[in-house]
Amino acid sequence: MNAKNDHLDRLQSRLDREPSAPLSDEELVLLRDEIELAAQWDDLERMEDALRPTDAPEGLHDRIVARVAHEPIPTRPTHRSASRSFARFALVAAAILAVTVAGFHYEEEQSRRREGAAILASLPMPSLALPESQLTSTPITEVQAGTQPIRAFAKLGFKTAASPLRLMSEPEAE
Amino acid sequence: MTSSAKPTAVSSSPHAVERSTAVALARNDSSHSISDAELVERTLAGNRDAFSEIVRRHEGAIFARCLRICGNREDAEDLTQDAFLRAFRALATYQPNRPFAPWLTTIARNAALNALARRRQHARIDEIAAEPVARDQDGPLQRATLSELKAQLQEAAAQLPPEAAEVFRQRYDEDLSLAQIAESSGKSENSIAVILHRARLEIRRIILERKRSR
Repeated sequence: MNAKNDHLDRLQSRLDREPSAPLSDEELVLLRDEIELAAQWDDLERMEDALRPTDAPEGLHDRIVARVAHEPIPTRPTHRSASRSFARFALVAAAILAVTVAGFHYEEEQSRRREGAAILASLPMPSLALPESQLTSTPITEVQAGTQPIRAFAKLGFKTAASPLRLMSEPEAE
Repeated sequence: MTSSAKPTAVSSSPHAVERSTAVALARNDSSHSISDAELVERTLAGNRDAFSEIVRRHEGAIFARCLRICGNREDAEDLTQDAFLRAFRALATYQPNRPFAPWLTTIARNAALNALARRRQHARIDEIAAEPVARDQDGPLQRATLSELKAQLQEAAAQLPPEAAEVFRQRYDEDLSLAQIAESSGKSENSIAVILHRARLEIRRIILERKRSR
């Protein structure tokens, strides 16, 4: 605590007499790192500004203004540009969402097609599984009722009653 | 000094703004009618005269701060120019609802400390951010305008012990040097310096205490 007071006293002496040397390394580090000391020092300087304002050297104002004259005017980010940024973000997000949904549906359709093709490929020809004698005498509906090919047809969306095999095997109404 | 006043509505046209500022400056009533925050807005709208007025208002305080850090007038002038240049470039980051003077002086202080640190590479002193952070401007002494602060300081000085109050009065009301006060009081210059240092810290404590109790 005493060490800090010593530093503050040394800093304060800069308020009472025009300093003839820069801050020491130690003072420099203290003003940077010691938040409480820096706050005290800022307050003391501010008090000095209020009680005993300093006049700037002659011509300093003009030199500063001349240097700033070459600088471009800074601009504050506006609400308009913020809303534009939001609109751009929303557009990109909507596009990404649309592509994702379309991709999902495409993949689902492809999957259904592949499944259908696989079922069709595995479909045995029932007529080849029957001996010729039976083929002519047995209605196909009796042979195939509840068998795999009929279920496969149903899965593909054909109604059993309307399946081509059944239609083929129905005896003609006399 | 009206540094903490909120900005009033300003015209959106840079030319209209320029004309109104020019009129105000010509009347020499700018320090009363236009706040620092409003001058910043006008500068951002393209009026360089408004920034010239900001420089006029604050160059003395910024120069004094730089002088206390670097210890010679030539360097202090260069640092003051650099500080205003940095402030101009960072003007769009200034928040108009905060006091302007502490924002500006923090830029100046950090720029001066960094310049000194760069010269002392042997000491390996890290640079600090040039842009002020909120805590730099939070204290009640920083938020008050200079005229408000002066009134508070005079009020607090009246509560000092008689000897300290007298030294404080001679230093600030009569603008006497430490040597002159020492001579008139028959004390050493060091004793006067110690009395003055303690008086300043006591006044700061009184003001902070008063703000806290409100």
